Amino acid sequence: MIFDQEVSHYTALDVPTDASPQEIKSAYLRAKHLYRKDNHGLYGMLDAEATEDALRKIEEAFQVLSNPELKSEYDAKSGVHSREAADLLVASATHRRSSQMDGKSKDPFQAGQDSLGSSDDLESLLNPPSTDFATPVPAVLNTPKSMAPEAKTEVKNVPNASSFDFGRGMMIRKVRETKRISLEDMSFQTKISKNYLTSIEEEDYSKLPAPVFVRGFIMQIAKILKLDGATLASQYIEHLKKTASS
Amino acid sequence: MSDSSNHRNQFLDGQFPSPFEPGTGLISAGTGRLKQIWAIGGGKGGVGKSLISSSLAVALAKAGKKVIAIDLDLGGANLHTTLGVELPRQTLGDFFSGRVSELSQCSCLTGIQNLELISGAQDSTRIANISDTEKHRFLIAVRNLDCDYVIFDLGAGTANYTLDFFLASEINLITMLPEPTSIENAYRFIKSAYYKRLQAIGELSPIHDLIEVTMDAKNIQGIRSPSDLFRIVNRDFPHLASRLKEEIEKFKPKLIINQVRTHSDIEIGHSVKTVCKKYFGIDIDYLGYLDYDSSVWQAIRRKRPAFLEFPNSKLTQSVERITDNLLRRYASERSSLHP
Repeated sequence: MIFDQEVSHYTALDVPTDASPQEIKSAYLRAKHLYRKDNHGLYGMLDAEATEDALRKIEEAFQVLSNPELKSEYDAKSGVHSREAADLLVASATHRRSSQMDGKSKDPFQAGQDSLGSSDDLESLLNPPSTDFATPVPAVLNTPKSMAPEAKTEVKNVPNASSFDFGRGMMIRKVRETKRISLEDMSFQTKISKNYLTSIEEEDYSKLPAPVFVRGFIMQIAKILKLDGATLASQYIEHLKKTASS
Repeated sequence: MSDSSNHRNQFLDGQFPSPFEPGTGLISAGTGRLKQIWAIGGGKGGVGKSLISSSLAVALAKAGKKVIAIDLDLGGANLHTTLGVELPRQTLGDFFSGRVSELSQCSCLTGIQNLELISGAQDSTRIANISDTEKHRFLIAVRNLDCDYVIFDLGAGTANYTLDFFLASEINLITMLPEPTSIENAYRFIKSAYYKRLQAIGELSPIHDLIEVTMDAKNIQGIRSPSDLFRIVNRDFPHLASRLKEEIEKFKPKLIINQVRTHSDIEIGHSVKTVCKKYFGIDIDYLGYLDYDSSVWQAIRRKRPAFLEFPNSKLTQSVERITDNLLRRYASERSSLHP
């Protein structure tokens, strides 16, 4: 955007500084699609050199932002989370989200504003963004094909936290798949083994460790899925214990 | 008409916004009617400006609006042909040369209810360079026409008067074909209109020179893009930066892709939208597309409006949908500016 005061890896991909790995990935794929060589839609606006330049910046940006270590190094160096005043004059939409976060909470995931119970949140969560137009769908590993389409209606019917009588594993899986996070990605980001993740999602409680560990796992997963970890974990454990005692 | 002379005086007194300052339309006409001008441009010739102009005009007329279509392709007027009308006796040439004093005298019936036509000039050599005074007089006369909607069918290219008429309108429509030549010219047209619009804003006069430099693609200062321009304004004229941003964001051209054959043709509109957002900071409303339709040239050979000749064609449906969208999304702009 032309109103951005500084050029960064984030502006190159046109994502906010608190974008999740998935947002970064889909922004990257969208950008690659836009600047592809045979896109007539750019003709006369961007010459070959400008297109290559844009592509190079996108690749560079993605190299850094998709790698957790490089990303945190880059963030620290460019002071991503401490830059409040820079865009006072022109607070573009891209920056608004990051500046809304106050200085105290550096980790966007800990903001905890996503309440699990709200059906609005679930609905928006399960609807891919409309800007997804023409974005090649990133590969989703280990996805049972039959599940994705019904995800929306089923999850919408989730009863209130107090009255549910089934586990949260399926919901976790649906949210994860809707967000197009593969088991591998989830395992990589949470450092939880794929076997445990599968057991959690399939509510195969016999293969899981003690509840106190499971609680930790669920908190980790909720972080990645941007769900309210505390609520999700207690609901999960409640069902786990109920099943174990019956 | 005493009303119209009254308006002219208001204008001279400075109470009346200059017709060249963009976005000041919707002036109550002498008849007391608010009107909205839709301008159809696009840079290149043969991209369907006249066809789309006449189709939109007919669609509006069919919806019960009183419409006057004006052919502003001063060098190559043929809107009358797409409407199935013989070349009218009075044309814009007569208005500009002063042979007729009222613009409404150039207006002729089209045989379509609610729709009148003002044809372009035929003696194009003199007309091609109309003066600012004549442009002024014309735009004020347009505001005094007795109708709800005025359609400007603009000529190809980025001539000064073409851009002026485009920017004096409330609805800025751009039509392009999914072909490199057309896309290139459409970008050129958007770019020219974009800068010219900013240069017409009185408040931004301290940076008009800077904009002029930016428009010269090979300027030695190295200002290559709106992004560069904005950075420099932010640095050197910080008090104007937010005003500049505001004006840039007010420019909202609407895009129609014509003669679409494949899915990737449709996608071009989305690319244009994204790129314009990224490089110009403007929001383009991608209104829709028209399928390539061989019935169009059949209609043109019969010298009949394609829109009426084939009422059940996809073209007619698409045009109706686009008109509908425009009416729904922007009708409120008619009255909001001048209560």
